[in-house]
Amino acid sequence: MSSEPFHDAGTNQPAPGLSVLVVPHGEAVVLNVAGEIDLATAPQLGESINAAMAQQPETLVVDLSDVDFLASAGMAVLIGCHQQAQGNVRFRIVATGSATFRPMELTGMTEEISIFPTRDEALTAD
Amino acid sequence: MNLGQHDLDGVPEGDLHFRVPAAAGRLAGLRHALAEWAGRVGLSDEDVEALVLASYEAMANSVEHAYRDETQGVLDLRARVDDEQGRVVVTVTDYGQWKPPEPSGGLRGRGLSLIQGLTTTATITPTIDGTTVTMFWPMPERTGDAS
Repeated sequence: MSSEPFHDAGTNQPAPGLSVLVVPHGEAVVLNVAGEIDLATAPQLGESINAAMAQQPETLVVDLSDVDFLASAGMAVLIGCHQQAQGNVRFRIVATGSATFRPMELTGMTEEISIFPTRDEALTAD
Repeated sequence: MNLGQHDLDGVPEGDLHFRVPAAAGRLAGLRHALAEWAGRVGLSDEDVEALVLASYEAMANSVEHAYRDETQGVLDLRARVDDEQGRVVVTVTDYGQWKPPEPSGGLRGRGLSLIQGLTTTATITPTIDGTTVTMFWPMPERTGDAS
């Protein structure tokens, strides 16, 4: 995995908060999430997911590839959305690496939700 | 160089100390400062990431649970290197009474279980005045280290 430092200590830039870009893919919708998911930004993520869910796509993919921080508040939102999707929408997450996949692994989320290493796999899996 | 809020009880050089209102919007700044500090004292990238997440979870827990119906309280984030024990010590202290966790399907419990997964030791010390979460990470071996 990347050997980049967790934060670029050279610059003094404040990290971005959170951005969510919604991209349709045929019967699926992909949410490109970027930035940091914490107590302050998790509600925004939840709202974005709920709005996309309301469109009733066949599959909803939350792509965390560009997320460099994921706190339990964010995980709670993802789990809540997954529970709401049950039976209606296929809910999938894209995540790899120490910032996103590892915390989800530590809390057992990987047992509950389908998590894929790439968006392609999330979109094409049965 | 001293980081963090000044004028607080004589913080030694090289230590980190911030006191902020226990509000969600204040935590990202502390998280970034902590990440920078942890990298500078020589922790591996992996340990920096673990330290930052665990410390953030402790702070978020204070924001969510410490101050029930009162007006907002404060939280203290401290970090220092314990050269003798060869480890970094991070503490998060609030001065409220933790609410009992809500019975919401265990969602809130993930914060604490994350802390336990990310540190070799974490202790939560409640007192009448509040709660301190203390976490340790070993410092990497220094080359040519003294005894």
